[in-house]
Amino acid sequence: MQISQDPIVWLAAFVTISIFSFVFWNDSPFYKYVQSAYLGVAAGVTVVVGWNNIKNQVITPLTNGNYTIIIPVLLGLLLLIRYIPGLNWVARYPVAVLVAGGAGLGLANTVQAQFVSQIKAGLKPLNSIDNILMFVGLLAVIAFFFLTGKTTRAMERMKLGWLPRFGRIVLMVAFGASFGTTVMGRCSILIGRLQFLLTDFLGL
Amino acid sequence: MKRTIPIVIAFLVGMGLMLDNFITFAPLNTAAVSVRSWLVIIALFSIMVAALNLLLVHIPRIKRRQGTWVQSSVLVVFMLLTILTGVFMGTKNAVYSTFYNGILTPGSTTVNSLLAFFIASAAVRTFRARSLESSLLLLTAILLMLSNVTIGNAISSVIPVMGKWVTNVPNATAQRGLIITSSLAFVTINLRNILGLSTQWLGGKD
Amino acid sequence: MQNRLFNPDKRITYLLLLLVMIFPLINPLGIAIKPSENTLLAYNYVEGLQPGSTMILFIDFGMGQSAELTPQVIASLKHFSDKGLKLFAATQVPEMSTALTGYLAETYGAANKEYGVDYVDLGYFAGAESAIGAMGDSLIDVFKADVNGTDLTTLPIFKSITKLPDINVMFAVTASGTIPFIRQANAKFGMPIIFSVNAVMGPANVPYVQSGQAVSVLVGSTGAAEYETLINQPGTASAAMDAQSLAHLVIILLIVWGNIGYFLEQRRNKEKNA
Repeated sequence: MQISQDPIVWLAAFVTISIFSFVFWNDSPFYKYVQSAYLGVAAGVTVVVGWNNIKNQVITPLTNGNYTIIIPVLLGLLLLIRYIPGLNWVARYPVAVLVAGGAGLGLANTVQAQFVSQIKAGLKPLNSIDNILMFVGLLAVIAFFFLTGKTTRAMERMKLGWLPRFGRIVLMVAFGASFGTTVMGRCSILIGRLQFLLTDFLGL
Repeated sequence: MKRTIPIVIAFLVGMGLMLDNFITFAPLNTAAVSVRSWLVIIALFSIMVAALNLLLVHIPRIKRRQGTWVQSSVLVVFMLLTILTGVFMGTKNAVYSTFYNGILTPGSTTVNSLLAFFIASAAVRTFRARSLESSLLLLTAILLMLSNVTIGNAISSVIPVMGKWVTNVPNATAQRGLIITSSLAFVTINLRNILGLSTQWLGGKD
Repeated sequence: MQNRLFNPDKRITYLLLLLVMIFPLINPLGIAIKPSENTLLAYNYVEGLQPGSTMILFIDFGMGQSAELTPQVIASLKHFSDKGLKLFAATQVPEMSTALTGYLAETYGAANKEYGVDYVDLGYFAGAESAIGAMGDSLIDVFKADVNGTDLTTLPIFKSITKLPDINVMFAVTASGTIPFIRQANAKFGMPIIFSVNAVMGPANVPYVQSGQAVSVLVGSTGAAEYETLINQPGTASAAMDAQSLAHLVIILLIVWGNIGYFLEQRRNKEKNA
């Protein structure tokens, strides 16, 4: 065992163990203050990176005479005016551009990317049990989500009441699969911290 | 002016960007290219807004010495130190690197790693085979847990095969249904935003 | 008494979990890692690319998920570097900008690849899906400069690359969603995308592989360990697999134990009421 001599590794180990203390000690002061420190650093890093980007993408082009970006820069500055009392409505202009921009960009391709392509993928030749199960299962899941009182009664009359119930069962299988992989994901992050403590800090 | 003009802007921008994908009309296409590049720059300023918000929440708490003001002080001090060193001394200097590698990296990953403890204890205490659906969920979860790790294959080569079938057939079917239905919801919500039928994003009363 | 036996204090569960994870990290069990179909799909696709092909890497996860996704990034970058792929790397998470520089130094830099010719670090970009959409018009307008402030038009790697569709393949490592990439790159330009996602998102993205919208989806640390095995360079993910196995086994046994207690209690209640 060769404990690390690097002060940054020691600091990281202290932070790690302080946060772990929350698991066994709900009111751990180490956890509270270390968490505040890390949140502060995280916010600070975001500002630093954002500032560097503003330098590269806004200040440098403007000082080089590229004024095509003046409109988005003004809109961006309007976002900051919201903190002046009585003028917070001004921020609605850039928010309108951002919200509608994201919506417009996403809408155009959503129908193709998520609707048409997935329906195509679900409509396979019904020449195997898997394909039949996938087709019926897809209809069942969609039926489950479109359930309203009117739809339920209509489906019962058509002797299709079992379809949304089957959809629920298919969904349970999917949620079980999601849970199984979620456990793996969370464990891997914990193992990563333990690897740091054992290998980088304690030198085992 | 306070509500009408933003709604009109949203309509023009949203419809313009959407129609740009379907219509070849030089002025529309050129304008769409410009607006797409504007979004990147406006988004940059929104990051600064988020950081400013954080200070506006914590500084009054520190001034009034109320509640968890000591923790707020720690947060603000570290935030300002990081900003000062990062902006004026660059991101490669020793102090900024110490904060990044010694506090941010271990802090962030360790907080996320706590979920492993909670998910394990929650699963042990609440995962019960009470009905057909919960039993199915439980069995699928156990099968996937075993097939996702190397010990599953070591116990039996059937486990990864079954896990692969569950993932590619019933799971994929359900997820496909979720993708299709959620895409309809996405289209509905965003069309309502663009057409001004939903104005929640405007916020405020005036 | 029976209740406490079948519903132990949660701290016992935590301690047990820690012990079964620590033991194999110190004394590896050496259980074999067998690459899955998804990992083979991604690996074979990259193997099929010609040297000089271009790849754009997007880092879309925060520091909190880095323990799970960093091994995949490192393994993939080592593979891309060995294949001689020209790499454009960017992140949409501010705190990962410094980490991205580190990943490139550990892989392309360590392999003596020339910066600006073989790879470029574009750093952080704001706007998420909007920015990816804007990259379809012009990469240079979105980034303008690399992470060091160097004008992109002066870098040789941008000689024949002006916009996103000019790049051959996308590799998106994401913990927040694959849909923006599918919408803005695959649906719009038919760009092939290899995804690496955290384990939580793994099952939800299987339909995109089946529909051909994604080349493959590599899932979490298991996908990373399998990839490390394929490129013959075991790393942190491979070292963690034994601990993963034991942790999963213990959690499963505890769930089964809890259910045995539940059924015994149900039977006792039935007998009481009978």
